[in-house]
Amino acid sequence: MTKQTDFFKKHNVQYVDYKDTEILKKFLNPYGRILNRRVTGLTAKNQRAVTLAIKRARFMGLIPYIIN
Amino acid sequence: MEINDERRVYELGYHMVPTLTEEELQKEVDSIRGAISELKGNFLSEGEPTLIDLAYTMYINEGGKNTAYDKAYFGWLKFDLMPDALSHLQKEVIGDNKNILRYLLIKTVAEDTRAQVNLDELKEVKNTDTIAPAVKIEKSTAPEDISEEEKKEVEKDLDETIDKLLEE
Repeated sequence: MTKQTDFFKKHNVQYVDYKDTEILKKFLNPYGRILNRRVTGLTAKNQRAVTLAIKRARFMGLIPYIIN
Repeated sequence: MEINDERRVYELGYHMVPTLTEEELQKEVDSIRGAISELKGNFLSEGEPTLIDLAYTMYINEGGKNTAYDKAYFGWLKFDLMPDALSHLQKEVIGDNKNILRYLLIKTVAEDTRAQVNLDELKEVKNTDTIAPAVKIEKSTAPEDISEEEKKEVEKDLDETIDKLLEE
């Protein structure tokens, strides 16, 4: 059996909320860019959900667009 | 044309300008809540507006001048509403409010979408942290039981075997 790599499945999290910035920050690189699926180990569905949540959080000024 | 008569769940996240006093802030939130109630919306959950540091400076045009804000009162409301009423809420109520710095209106679900994860567990293990061994190592009592003479014999044997190996 393959090892469970999806963070949300591992922690039994059903929804990805844009307000959960501490979780979303786990999927950003040091420059604030979204990590790709090969690195995050998320399922395609959850990767899309994380991407959308990060973009919403950025728009609302909860996480930065870029980190210098 | 298909008429949609099902209620949908929406979430309104908003930033209020930080210059508002607590009373004015409460008034503004109440006015939004009142407008949603007028449109026959039912509230499901709410996040109290709290003053937060924004990740970047936001600008709002006030009388032809851009005003910069580094902080804002962030709050959110979750409610269900008829889809037809949404445009009215967006244009007339939120769009016209000068005290709303920015807002986000999204379709969501009635259930709580916040992750119930203990954030301490998410912290990565630092180099300075001591990690308990998974298997308990039991102290062997053998070295203490051996007498001095026996120790010397063992050392002698060891030396001999090493010499033999070197000769080969």
